[in-house]
Amino acid sequence: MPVRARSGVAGGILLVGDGGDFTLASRPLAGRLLNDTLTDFDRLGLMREGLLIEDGDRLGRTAHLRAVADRIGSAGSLDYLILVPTLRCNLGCSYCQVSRVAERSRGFDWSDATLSAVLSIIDGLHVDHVKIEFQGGEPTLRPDLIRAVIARCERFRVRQFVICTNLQRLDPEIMELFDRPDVFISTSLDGDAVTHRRQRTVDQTATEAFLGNLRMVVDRYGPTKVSALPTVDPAALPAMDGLIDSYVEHGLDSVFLRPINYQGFARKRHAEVRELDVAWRDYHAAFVRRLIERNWADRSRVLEETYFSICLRRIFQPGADRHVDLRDPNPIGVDYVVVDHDGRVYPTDEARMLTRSGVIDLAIGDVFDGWDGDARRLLNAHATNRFDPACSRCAYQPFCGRDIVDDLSRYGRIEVPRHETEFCRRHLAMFDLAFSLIYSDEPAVHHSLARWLRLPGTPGRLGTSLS
Amino acid sequence: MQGAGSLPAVRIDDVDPDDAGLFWLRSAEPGISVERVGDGVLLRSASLSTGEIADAWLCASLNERLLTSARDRRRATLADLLS
Repeated sequence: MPVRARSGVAGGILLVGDGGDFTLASRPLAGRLLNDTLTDFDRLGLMREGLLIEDGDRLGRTAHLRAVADRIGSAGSLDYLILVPTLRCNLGCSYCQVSRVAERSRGFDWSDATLSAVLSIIDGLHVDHVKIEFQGGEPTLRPDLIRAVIARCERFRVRQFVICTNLQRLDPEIMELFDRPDVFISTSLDGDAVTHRRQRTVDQTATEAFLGNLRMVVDRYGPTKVSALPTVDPAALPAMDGLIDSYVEHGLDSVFLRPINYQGFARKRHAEVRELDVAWRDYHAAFVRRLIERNWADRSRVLEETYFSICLRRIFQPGADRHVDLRDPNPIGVDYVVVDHDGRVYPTDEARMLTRSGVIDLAIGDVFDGWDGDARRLLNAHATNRFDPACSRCAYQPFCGRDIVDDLSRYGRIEVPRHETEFCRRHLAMFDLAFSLIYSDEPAVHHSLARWLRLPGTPGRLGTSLS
Repeated sequence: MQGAGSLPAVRIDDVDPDDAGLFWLRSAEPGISVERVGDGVLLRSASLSTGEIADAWLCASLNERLLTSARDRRRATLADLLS
């Protein structure tokens, strides 16, 4: 039975099957497993946890195969488009992750031909649901292009549009878009007013305009329609309660802690963040623990760190694989693509940034001729962690993923031993944290984990143990 | 297994320094150094306790055994299918 072990978690030896079943074994039990001296009692316990199948147990074998299959991500038809109708922006953040140009620049918006080709792609989608994210630049500088795309999506049974905006300027034309029930708003909130001003808006007037607009859209639409995320400088980590409070004050319950990304213009200006260090991982863990304390102190609302919740759901909910930064396999150019201002198509937004930075051209095609070419096939041949020698020895492989673009960004190659990559170190820390919390005895921890897993109640325990 | 020297250390007898489990142990825990001692090795770490070093070695060797076992079973199944 393919089982992998990890030490240093909750005082025992974590055993994880390749279908994602897990238990916390005592050291003596792990020793007996190593020496092939399991007792009948041991075998019964491991069988009960789905970690051992006796010869001839066809039902157990079938259940195991099903569990493994459920862990293998299946990218379906294209149904998620990230569109960049303009690269122009009315802010100039030092670490801009989207490689913007000045608002008055020319030649950085979709041409009529590009718009027409994008609409043709939408017409050709073989799905009844679609998600379209408008990025930039600042996409609200071209509401006409947003409207044209939305209008073309009327035929889909389920539609979701996300406008990623800095909320600097809102006029009736923009508000008319926001008023649509199928439109959602995503913005950046880096912390309190001083932090946000230092990192983004620069002057007081722009800062006040943003904060006022954020308050207005949350008041008008409620927090479920508006999401925000902070960009955090690992070299100047903000006070946790201050950051959390800035979200709470705006009625926002989810904080997606996002370190400055080693891509785009950030690559040139903040090279020190190439490797996120232990301090960042400790900060992230402490942040999650602080949210747990606050959720317990005030059980009327549930605060969460979004990426930790994604990792948690990867453990308990096989098939939770639409977060495209953490899934396996993670093929590119299949179920989602990014269309840039010039009609070129990229596998991810990070790939677009890398290309704009002049590091490597990761465009896989364009909206005129398509993207089913050699570049995509070449990258997709390596889009899994399943056969990697380091991952095949890692207990967290069933929950983890693969991010080729991240490797290219940091190392310029994709064959770096997995355990030497920042992706691996980051996710080892995330899953170590998750399992240490899963095996915590604290009611406060159980309360938050259950809420983050969207459970209706709070189970007495979230993980089993064998001695 | 026993402690040795000023740093936490664990002695493993009857193991080759080129053992695959040791290779992956060092990969996963770069803070552990491996020193040949007699017919075995001494694992030392400045950041882990002896218990943690022992647990890390237990997991590394267990993972190798389980992987080898799974590989052998796959080969046996394949040979059976081809025969």
